[in-house]
Amino acid sequence: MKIGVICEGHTDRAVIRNILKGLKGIDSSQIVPLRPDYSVDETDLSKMPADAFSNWSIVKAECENRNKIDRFLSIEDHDFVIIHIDSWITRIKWCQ
Amino acid sequence: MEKKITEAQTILKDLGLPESQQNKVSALTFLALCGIGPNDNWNNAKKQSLTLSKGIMEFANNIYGQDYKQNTRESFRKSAINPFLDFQIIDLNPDDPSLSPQSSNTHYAIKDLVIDTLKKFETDSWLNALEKFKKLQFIENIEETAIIRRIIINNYKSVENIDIELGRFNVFIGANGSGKSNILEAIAMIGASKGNDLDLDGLMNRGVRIANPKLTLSSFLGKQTNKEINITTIFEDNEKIIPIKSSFESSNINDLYAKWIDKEVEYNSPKIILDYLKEISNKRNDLSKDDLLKEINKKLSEKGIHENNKYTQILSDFAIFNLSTQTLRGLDSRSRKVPLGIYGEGLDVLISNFNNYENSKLLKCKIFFNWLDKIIFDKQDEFKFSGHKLGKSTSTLYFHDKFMQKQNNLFSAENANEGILHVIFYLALFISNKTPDLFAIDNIETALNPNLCRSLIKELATLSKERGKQTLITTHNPAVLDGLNLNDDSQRLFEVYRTDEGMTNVRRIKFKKGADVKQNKLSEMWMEGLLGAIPQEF
Repeated sequence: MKIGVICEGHTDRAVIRNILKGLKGIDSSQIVPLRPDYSVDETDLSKMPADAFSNWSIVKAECENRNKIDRFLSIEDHDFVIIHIDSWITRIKWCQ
Repeated sequence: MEKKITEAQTILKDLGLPESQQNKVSALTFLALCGIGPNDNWNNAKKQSLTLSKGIMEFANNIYGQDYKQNTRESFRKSAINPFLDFQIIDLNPDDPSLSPQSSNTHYAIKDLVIDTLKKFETDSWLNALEKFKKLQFIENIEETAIIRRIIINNYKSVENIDIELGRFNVFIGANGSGKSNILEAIAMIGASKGNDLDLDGLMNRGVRIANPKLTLSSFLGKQTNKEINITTIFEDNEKIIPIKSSFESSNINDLYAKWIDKEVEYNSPKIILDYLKEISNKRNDLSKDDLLKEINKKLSEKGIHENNKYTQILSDFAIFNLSTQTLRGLDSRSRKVPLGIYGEGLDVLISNFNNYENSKLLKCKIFFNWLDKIIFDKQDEFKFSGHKLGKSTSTLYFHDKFMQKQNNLFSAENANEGILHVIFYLALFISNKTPDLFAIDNIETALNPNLCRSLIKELATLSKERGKQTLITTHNPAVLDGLNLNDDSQRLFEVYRTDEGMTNVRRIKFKKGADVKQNKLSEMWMEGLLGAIPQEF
């Protein structure tokens, strides 16, 4: 069983990985990082502001266009995707 | 009359005989052996046994109005009979195989395969018939049917316990150090045992990296080390299932040079032998020494020990090829394995001995290299004296470049680009029937352009089916995946990865049934991280 993870940053995924290991005993080799990813090369990255590389709107966009989710789920034993959005984002949206 | 002779010459050419066997004497011999007169149709060709003088030469003289005298017998032998025998066009003494070579009754007959092929002459299926002929012409062209369906490995290096269902053409991807090569080595180990050379030489010849026995046994933090390695291969051959098992233990786990012992063989043999001796000691004391040894071997073989059958042979021939450009150029030679060494040795000799069918397959490499005109073998190794290479290289392989000036278009393996050497090696490995039926290739992408990787993999997957080869390939180049057709169950892709405890695991990457046509190439999916098989630590 492989679990795709979509989150804002690599550190978020590290936390998710530990939670899955601790609560469910899921081996980290079963975690597949879907976002953030290496789809941008170092040349483009050098021109990109740090927060443009990965942010919650990229996570949201992925959920809307399902660009990677659907392709990930097309493979056997790929049955779950974890999507992580920081809760403070929802509060901002609420206040607005 | 002349028309029939010309037709015979054309047929001989189409059957793949060299120019020196397309002359009039060859044509008349062929006509005689097929019993075809000037007004006969080729589909009336029939098999008949003929001697040389009274049969073949008289046929040429009487039916085709020739005037060959007895003293031209040698020319018939040289131009026709001997090459026809070499090319498996005719049989020698089919009516009495025990005749001595000098017998005046020595006779010849056309092979049934040729008769069948001739029935298609001047029809639409002539080309197909020729291809079939060239394949069946030499018995060694018939492909192997057995493949390993499943392999179970316990306790070998980083592999604690894996169970893989293989196809015919298997590609393994995974991060560096994930354990891909360990899987290949485990097969080499059972191969060495079945080939009765389970020693350092036997292992190294098959491409195993020798480590201290303590490191060869799986060793994981907080886990007790098991002293035994178990490897089981399960063959499938025309729906028959044949398991072959080995259990290994080191004679001294602290000694790098210690021998591995196949317990299946070593521990069970004495008991089987003693039981047998006990059983016969009262009954049969008339056995000679040789008979007794033969009987003991038979008993061992019945119990699956020291068994020598085609499955143990396939395992024994297994090797892990890991090509080095220097070796392909003939500049160094480390592996003694024949016909092809594991680093790229022996390529020139193997392909210079290819038969027609093998050659026609090899020439497919031209589609990969638009500059390639011809592959040449300098059997006498004379070109080096005309300044075509420095002379350090032992390879007698040369290439003609079609874009270069005619008088200056020959270059040696020493000077050729590394891509073509790698590609020709892989093609030869898959085409030849003298190479192993089961083998592995570590890092197939070495020296190859991504697009070439893709086309080559597609070609090799086809060849593996045609030639009955089974292969396990590792790669770090995504383009290799684009050459695979995962809708074909015989082509399989595997991810090799390590668990949190460091154990190597393998899983097959396969699309779900009913999944929509995927939008992206497998190479892109791998690069994007959708398939796994990439390092995540950085």
